[in-house]
Amino acid sequence: MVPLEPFLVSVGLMFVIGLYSLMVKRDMVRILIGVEILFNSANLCFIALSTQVPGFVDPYAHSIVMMAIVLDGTVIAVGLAMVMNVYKHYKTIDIRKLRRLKW
Amino acid sequence: MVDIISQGINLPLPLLMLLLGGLTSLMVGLLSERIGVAKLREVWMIIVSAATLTSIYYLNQSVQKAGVLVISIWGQLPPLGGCFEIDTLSIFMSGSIAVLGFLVALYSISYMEKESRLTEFYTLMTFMMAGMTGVVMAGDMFTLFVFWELMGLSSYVLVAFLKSKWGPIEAGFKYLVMSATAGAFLILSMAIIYGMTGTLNFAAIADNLRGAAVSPWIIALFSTLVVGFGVKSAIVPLHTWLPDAHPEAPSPISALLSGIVIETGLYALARVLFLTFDPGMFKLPIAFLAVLTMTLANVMALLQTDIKRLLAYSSIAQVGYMLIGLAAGTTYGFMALFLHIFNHSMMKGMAFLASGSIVHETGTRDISSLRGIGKMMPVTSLSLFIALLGLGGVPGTNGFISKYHLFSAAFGSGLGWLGIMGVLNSALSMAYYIRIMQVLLGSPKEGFKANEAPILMLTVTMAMAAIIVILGIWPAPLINFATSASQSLVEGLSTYIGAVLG
Amino acid sequence: MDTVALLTPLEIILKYPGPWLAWILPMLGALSMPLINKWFGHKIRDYAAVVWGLTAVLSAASMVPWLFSGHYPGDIQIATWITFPNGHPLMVGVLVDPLSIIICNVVAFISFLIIVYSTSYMHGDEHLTRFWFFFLYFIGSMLLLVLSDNLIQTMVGWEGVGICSYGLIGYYYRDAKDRWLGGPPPQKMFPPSHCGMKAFVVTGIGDVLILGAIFIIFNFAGTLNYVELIETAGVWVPKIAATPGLLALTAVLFLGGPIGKSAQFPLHEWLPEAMAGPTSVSALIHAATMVKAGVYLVARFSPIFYLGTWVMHIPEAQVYFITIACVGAFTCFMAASQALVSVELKKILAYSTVSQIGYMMLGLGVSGLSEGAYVAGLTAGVFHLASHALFKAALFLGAGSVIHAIHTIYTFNMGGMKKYMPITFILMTIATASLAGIPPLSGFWSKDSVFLACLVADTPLSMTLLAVGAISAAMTFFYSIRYINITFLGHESQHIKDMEHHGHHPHEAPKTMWVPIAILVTLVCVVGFLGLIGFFVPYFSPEIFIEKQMHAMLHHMEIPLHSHHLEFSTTLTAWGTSAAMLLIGGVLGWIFYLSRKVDSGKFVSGNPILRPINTFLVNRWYMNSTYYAIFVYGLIDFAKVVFASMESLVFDKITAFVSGSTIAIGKVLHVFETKVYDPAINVGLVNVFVEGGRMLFQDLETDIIDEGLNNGIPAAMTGLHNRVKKLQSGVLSYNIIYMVVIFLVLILGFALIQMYGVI
Repeated sequence: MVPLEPFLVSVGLMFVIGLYSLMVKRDMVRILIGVEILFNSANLCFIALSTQVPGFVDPYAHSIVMMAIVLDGTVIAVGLAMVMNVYKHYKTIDIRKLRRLKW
Repeated sequence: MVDIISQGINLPLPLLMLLLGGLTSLMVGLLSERIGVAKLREVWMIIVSAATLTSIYYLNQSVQKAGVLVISIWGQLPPLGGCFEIDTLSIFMSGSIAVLGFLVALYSISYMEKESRLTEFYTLMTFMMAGMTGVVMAGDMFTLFVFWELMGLSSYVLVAFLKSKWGPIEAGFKYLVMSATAGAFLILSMAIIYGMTGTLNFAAIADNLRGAAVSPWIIALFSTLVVGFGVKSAIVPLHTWLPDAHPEAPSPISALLSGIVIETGLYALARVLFLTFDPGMFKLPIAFLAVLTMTLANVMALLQTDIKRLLAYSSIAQVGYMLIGLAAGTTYGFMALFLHIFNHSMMKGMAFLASGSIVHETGTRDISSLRGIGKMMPVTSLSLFIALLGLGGVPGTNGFISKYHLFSAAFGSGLGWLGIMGVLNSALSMAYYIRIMQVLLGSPKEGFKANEAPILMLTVTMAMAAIIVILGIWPAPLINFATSASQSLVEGLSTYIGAVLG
Repeated sequence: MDTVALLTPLEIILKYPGPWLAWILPMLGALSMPLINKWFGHKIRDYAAVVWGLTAVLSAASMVPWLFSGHYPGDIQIATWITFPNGHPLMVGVLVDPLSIIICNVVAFISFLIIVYSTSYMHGDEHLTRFWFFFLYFIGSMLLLVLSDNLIQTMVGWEGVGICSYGLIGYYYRDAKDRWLGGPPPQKMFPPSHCGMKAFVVTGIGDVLILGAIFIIFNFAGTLNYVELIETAGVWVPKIAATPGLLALTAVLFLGGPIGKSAQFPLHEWLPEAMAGPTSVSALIHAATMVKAGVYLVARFSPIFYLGTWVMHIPEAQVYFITIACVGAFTCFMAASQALVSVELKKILAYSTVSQIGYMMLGLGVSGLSEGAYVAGLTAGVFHLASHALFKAALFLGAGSVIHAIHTIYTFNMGGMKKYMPITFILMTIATASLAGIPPLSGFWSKDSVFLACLVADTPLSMTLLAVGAISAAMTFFYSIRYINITFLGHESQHIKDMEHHGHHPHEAPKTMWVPIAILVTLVCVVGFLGLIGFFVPYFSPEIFIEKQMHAMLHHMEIPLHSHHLEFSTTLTAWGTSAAMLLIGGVLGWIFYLSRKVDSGKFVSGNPILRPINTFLVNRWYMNSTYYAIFVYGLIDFAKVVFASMESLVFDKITAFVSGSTIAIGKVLHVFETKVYDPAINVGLVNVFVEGGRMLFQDLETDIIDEGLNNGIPAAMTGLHNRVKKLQSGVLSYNIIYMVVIFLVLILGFALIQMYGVI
């Protein structure tokens, strides 16, 4: 049985780092990287919990993680395409300039 | 009772039609450009939607016979592999999706005539519907997540469709980031479920996890689930993407988004919460969220000047009402929830379509500059008027029926204060609906001219208005359907579990 | 009653087409009117209207054989409309029994004749399509009302006739000056749109009352189907009666609807104003059909209260009968007195209608006052309904012909029409004779049956009401002679002379107008004649026929009837009363009008007793003016006061509620400080009271209540909006922060709930 606590701690840390990137960073690409980190932390959680079965590692979680990585990647790809479009309109990728829609 | 169809790639027929329809829609689009036949893609879209509707009807008959229909997707049988588990509730939701999708497809033939990249539009719309259908038919959490992301992806691109303007792009980006974050929360919740039970199958979760004592993991699971599903469902304070995304999207997409995408999120929340937890456990938090959602959305909507933004806030408020039904947690409460889902899809979908007609003809979304539009576009204004009456809950429309059931479910399950808040909010919401009605019925300024919308857009809006009024006077068949849907969720829990686990 | 088993709806309609097509076809006809007008033009449209009316007559007539055979289908239900969680589902159905068949036929037949009349009377009017639409829809709704088998469907028909009545009374809604009603100046005149609205509002009050009764009944009975209500009456009536006063309340509320619709006191004021509509409308709606809807409903529901009074021995149930009998008798008297002095021809007929419906209500009311009188009273009400419909429709149509010929509604502009319109004169005189109750016309037999019912009931109340009814009968004869004299006999008025001078000669009505009147009058005579024969051979008497039908219907409903043997002496007493009243009225009428021995005008203004009575009657017992003062002008003035106070304050004080209330609170505190606290310290106690009172009123009332409610709530909401909207800042980072915040709040909140066990 692999000890679970280090995994969970790292999951929590990655989660917080991802959220921090989302909340604080100004650059849109960095925000998307923050989303990616969030996704990866959740996937890591899956993998971590899959090791808890005594005797073998459950492949079910791994297959799920593979599919999740694909999906996350797609989302980020679409996000990056949007960043390119934003640049065309706003001439900047500073998220704080994207404030025209409010209230 | 159990009807496990064979191995190999199996998908429920409506889902298969939508997915294949979407894939072929790409080819049809390219073909139509080559041949030069106009409207080929639109016709194909209509064919696909109509075929989906009919296949749902036939699927309903199989479900009625079997009770719960389990379709394993590939390879392993459930609970090891992924599966679709279709009961009356899934049929109800996919019926709503298909009906609204069909009507919106008809509408967008006329509305999106002059846009470019229509192939992508119709393909994405089909995929969005496919994603939603997959979500409502999913039998395990991961299938739900896959189709959830499919629905989400399509909707991100559709919101940002008119990329020549800055508005859709900004709205689309914010929507994407928030929704992707929610997706991450969802994966986290899946991980927690997996950690606690070793499986992601709904039936197995219901068997194992339901009724367990509250532990920190359960609390974390609940919170991640609410945040994960709540962003798509537009629960306050996770709603902030919606007032930007819905106005900036093209009107048919706004109608679909407000009408059924949000509700699919709410369905997923209801299904997963009900299957994972005991209703008594999440009554208070969901009630708190309901009050917050309703009140904030209604207050924000009061002084909006953009008609589509006002309708977007109104959608959030309606989600608040639906959360009242979820908080009640009884069969009656769920029945009211699903009834309001269908009714709201009709009313809000039609409100967006009608205001889309108005925007299409006048080119402006500003409410005060639309004064007197009722005289120039009488049919559209009439249907918008009926939709607003329904949203406000005026007797004679189906909105009244479902709101009545929602509030009476709240009273019936001991959440009297929630029902009263709901009624007060309903009255408050009438304030801004009447504002739009005043504008519709006012007298036009000098030099304000607008033609009536094209006949196809008129037909769709009038048909939906007729549905609203007819269901307001004779709601019995819909109420029966919603009751059986909610019964299959609440009381058919053992059947649901038994179908997979035997 | 046999309840037919549920086949598919279409099969049932094909099996019993009469009751269903009777109301479906006219409604379809109404919907088709605009299309026919657009495609085929005016003439075909008018013919089409006649054809649709004919279909209604044929459908209604197809049900008559059931009356004679004695077997009728009873309750025919086709589909479920609303399912209730606990209780019987509400079905769409028709109830075919003698009461509905008789009234259905009366309605359909008279409607058809009036349609024929209207093609000529309304000829040339450019908005005729709207007229036909409302007319046909009215016929459909009225037949639906009469034929439906449950209270909700009846209410659908009830409201349908209400809206058509509004549309038809206000037909000339563009308020051309020559269509105004009332006066002559300086009396107040009302435009047709106002009259239509008045009818709608006043009958609407009745509708609200009857809705209250329906709610109470549904709460206790669980069903609204008439058959089921009567069958289960033994269960739910005692349940209502368990609460003292509730059954009486239900009865009174229920009667509110018929009182409103049938223009009884106190909801009678709309009917005289309803004369603003075209005459065919007056004839149809306000003489023959819509006002009878109330009578029908009272009769339909009376078995339940009869069971309550005489089988279950609940004294409260008798309130139903007592109320409607007293209301009917009083209305009869009051309206007849107002008809004595009215100066508009149609208004006289309108008051006469109200009075005669009072008779019908009286008959239905006394039916429950004693056990043996039930069938007699029911028969009296229904017979007088049918007979009155015939002659009053004839009278209205005739009056319409007269008004059409000489273009005036005022009786003082008429006179000596006998030589211009001889046919109309003869027909109207015969119909008037029936109205007055001169034997052997139908009116005599029907009015006599009401007196008979009172005598059979034989209680002090019924005798008193009989006296009231008898006096009204005398007045009826008197005013009948009055208006026949003023219109047809005597000298020509100045108005007619002027008309002749200008070359417009009043002429007799065309055939399409007097033939329907002739048909109606013939029927009146035939019924009268049958009544006469029926005295010797009971089989032919229409009264006995209706009585047998009512008997059979009640027997089918399994209502125990106390058989009452009709003594010949009672019949003689009734005849004697009628004859005496005719004599009194006739003598007075002869003195004042026919022989012109005494000029009524001079006589009344000369006599110190009669003059104030005359003023009282001319002003409609001051009831109309009182209603207007309280409900119309009073409310308008109140609204003006509220609006003025809101107006001035709204523009001044649109700023945030916080500042307003802060100022107010500050003011209050300041006033308290300076005016109460200081003087109190300075021993200025009187000042305290004075200023305290002023502060209490002014600051509390105006600052807090007025500002609070009228401006505060909107300002609070807008202020809240302005503060809250800053949250939707558009900054993505903040949005993510909200997500994280709610995530933590949920976790924390849940943990707190767990710790403190609040679930």
